[in-house]
Amino acid sequence: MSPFAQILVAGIGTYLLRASAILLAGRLASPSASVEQTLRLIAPAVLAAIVADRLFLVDGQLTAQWDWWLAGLIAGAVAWRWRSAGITMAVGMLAVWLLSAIS
Amino acid sequence: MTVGDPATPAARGAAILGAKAAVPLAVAAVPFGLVYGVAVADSSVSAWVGGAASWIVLAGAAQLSLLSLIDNDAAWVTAVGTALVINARFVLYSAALAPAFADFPARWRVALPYLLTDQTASLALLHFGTERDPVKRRWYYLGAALLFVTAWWIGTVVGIVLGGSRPEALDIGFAIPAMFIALVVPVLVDRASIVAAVVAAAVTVIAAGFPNGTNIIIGALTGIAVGRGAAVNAA
Repeated sequence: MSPFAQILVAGIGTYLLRASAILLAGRLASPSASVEQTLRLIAPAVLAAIVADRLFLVDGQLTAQWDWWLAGLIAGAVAWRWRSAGITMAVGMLAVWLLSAIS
Repeated sequence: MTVGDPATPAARGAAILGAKAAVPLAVAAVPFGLVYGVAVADSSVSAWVGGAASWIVLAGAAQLSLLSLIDNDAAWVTAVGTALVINARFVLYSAALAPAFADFPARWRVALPYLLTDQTASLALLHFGTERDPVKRRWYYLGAALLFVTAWWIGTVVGIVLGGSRPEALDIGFAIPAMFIALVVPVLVDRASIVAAVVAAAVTVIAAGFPNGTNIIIGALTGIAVGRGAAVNAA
């Protein structure tokens, strides 16, 4: 299969993943409070999983990256205080740059 | 509002609000796109085909994986399958957004998922917590998503064009965890969500042996289950 065809199939498949629940749920009655509570945990769980994967694992191995961990802590504190993605990312990048410069 | 949305001031305002919220994420999307674009230039895949992936697949990690596997002559099932496994988390975002999207007209429900990314999903879910109007919700999503994916496409094109003449050490590595830290903190609103997040993070690391982001899925699902338990116990 040509590279383009593979990309196309991957793209269509990815769209189906993205649309799955949205198209299937359609115009059903609102989900129960219990289901809603579960759905509300998706973002915290998935995002935290991604953070952990990026911060602690390199090529599937637990790797000590103290500058990243410290910068992550700083970024987390900044995010908590200011709730601004821009400030969080800017401070985080600055922190990691400074930490790697002094280490 | 059932058939089409006239671009009312409310709709336009919502779209602009979404776009504004997406600005810092879109700024980061440019260097991410650049990394991908440069990878395309370095690969055996043609610039047009590789570049097209940025609006056909619209998912950086999966695109990079596709490039790598295609370059290594992997079987198409492996290349495509791996990309879909990496993108499996989109099903969870879809489920989380489904109740809000249920109030949208059909063509919005068909079109908007095309633009679904981690960043757009996170912004939308956060915003939908306070914004209840379906019209404003979908225009907010549209504004945020369009800005973000446009930046992604721009980054891709620039990366392809720069290709071999890229600046050395385009080390934006920490920008990814930084971005997701910025996205996760605002949704840690109660005990259940904090429990879900902590458990998800821990299990993701423990399940490190599972490749291609499967550890992330396992971690997330475990976190959701335990967080649910914490919510039930608190009730």
